[in-house]
Amino acid sequence: MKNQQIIDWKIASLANDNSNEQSEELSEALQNYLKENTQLQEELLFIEQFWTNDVKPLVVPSDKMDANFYQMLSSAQSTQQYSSQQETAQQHSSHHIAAQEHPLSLLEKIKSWFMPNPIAQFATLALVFVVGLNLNKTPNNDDNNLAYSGLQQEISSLTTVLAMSMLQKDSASERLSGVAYSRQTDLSNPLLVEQLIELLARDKSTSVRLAIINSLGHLKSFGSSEQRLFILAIQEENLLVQIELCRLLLNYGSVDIKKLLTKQVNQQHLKPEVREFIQAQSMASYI
Amino acid sequence: MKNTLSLTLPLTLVAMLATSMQIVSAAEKSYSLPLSKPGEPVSIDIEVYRGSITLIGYQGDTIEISAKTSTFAGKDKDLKKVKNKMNKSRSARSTEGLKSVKNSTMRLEIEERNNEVEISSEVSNQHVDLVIKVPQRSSIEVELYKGGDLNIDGVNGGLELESYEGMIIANNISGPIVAETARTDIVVSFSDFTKTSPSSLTSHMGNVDITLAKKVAANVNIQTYQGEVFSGLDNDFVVVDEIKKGKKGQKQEIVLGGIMQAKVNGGGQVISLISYSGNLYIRKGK
Repeated sequence: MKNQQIIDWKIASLANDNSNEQSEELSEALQNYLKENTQLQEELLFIEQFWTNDVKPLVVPSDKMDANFYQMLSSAQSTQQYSSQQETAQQHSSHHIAAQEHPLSLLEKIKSWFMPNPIAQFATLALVFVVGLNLNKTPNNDDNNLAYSGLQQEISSLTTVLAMSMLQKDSASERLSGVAYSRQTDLSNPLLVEQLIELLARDKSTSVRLAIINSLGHLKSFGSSEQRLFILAIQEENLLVQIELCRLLLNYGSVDIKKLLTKQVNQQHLKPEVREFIQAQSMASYI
Repeated sequence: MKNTLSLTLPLTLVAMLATSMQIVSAAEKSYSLPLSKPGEPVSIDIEVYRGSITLIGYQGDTIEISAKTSTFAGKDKDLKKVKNKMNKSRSARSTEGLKSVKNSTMRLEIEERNNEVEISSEVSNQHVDLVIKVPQRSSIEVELYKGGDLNIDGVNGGLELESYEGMIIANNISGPIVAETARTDIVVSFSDFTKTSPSSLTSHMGNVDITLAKKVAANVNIQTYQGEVFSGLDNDFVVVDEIKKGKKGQKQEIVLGGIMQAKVNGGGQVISLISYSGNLYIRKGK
């Protein structure tokens, strides 16, 4: 049995996620062969490390391929360093190693691939890419899904932090960015919702306030914020903001708040345009 | 010389231009303000109570300010009310043998600190026409309460503009821009469009008119309640609002005044055009 055949078998068994079964099936001859060949053992261990460090949670094919690619590249580079150190150590030791002829190990191969030869570099990158692609083809399992949802949560948390930071900026355009980021989260963070409503109440830019109202439409439920939004809608002086707040509550508010708002049509403190809007909205909902 | 100036200038430079010139009705003054950190980002904050502002972007590191002031003699309801109240409480004095001397002092405050520049004229009875040359990369924030228009040309930095009575006219800009007027128009011509942050143009009662250069890629959002929309874009506007529909058998919600969007050159950063009663114009440029 050649070393390369054993390596191929190892990669295939890992890709099929049946390494344990295969291990049991290893023939005695093979096990004995491995016992005698520590270098090959190291190589197989190295391949396993590739696999165990695999970024499985990423489901988007291109992202996953990229992740695999860069991870393998990084591992290969670190291996190259390790190999160089080994080589230096070997040069300073006895002469019999130089005289001993043994097949090229995977580590040495990888090292040679990273030598400044364009063809070798290209071949290395292509190989790493293909291996990444192959690893990507493995079916997802429950662990992957769990890890993926965990990653999604992390991304959502990061986006939330980014949104909250941007909402505090002096520039209206950056605050608009903050609102856009908040829309990318599911608005499940109550602190973010609180900050948005705070900003809605006091921001001097109509554009920012309208963008916030638009974002709040993505909330699953207004919850305790509904009453506050209602008060804001009633007391608002900016016509565009008032109309949009009314639209928000009439479209996505509770039945009670809709009734409350519809009753305001007869109240004189609302601007005529807003009263007209609420009336039109109420009539449309009965069509 | 420039270095010496930047070194000797205190961190805060306050240049109060107070001059009494022989011109009876108006005063004119120019001032050159070197930045303390040439080549670095510049932010300019301008607040003018009454007047007009013209900002011209150029490739330089000095802010060139040209100001022309005159006493405000027009109608101003708020000012009139105050004057009438004051006049009632004063007894009339004799002016026999006296000549009337027009007040032509200029009061304009300019402050610079680490490339952050503040220019303000908050005197209510002074009309000031400002022409300012600024580095192209400047980020600019302007509030103009009364008087004329706000013009901007060739500025690449972020713009945040508010004009309560005059128009906002911006040419050859790339944004991001957030502009707002009450009853007057906003006219903006984009030579390019930044991807960094969204832009938004809001006129409560006026029109919003934009021209996008051919290479601009953007998502144009429009929202108007009583106005009309005129578009020269190739793509149609479609409703993007997420409408929560009721379950089967329940009544469906109909949304009035939603947002519509058109993608330009495949889409990009968002620019929102909003007006309550004004029209929205979207044009294709060269």
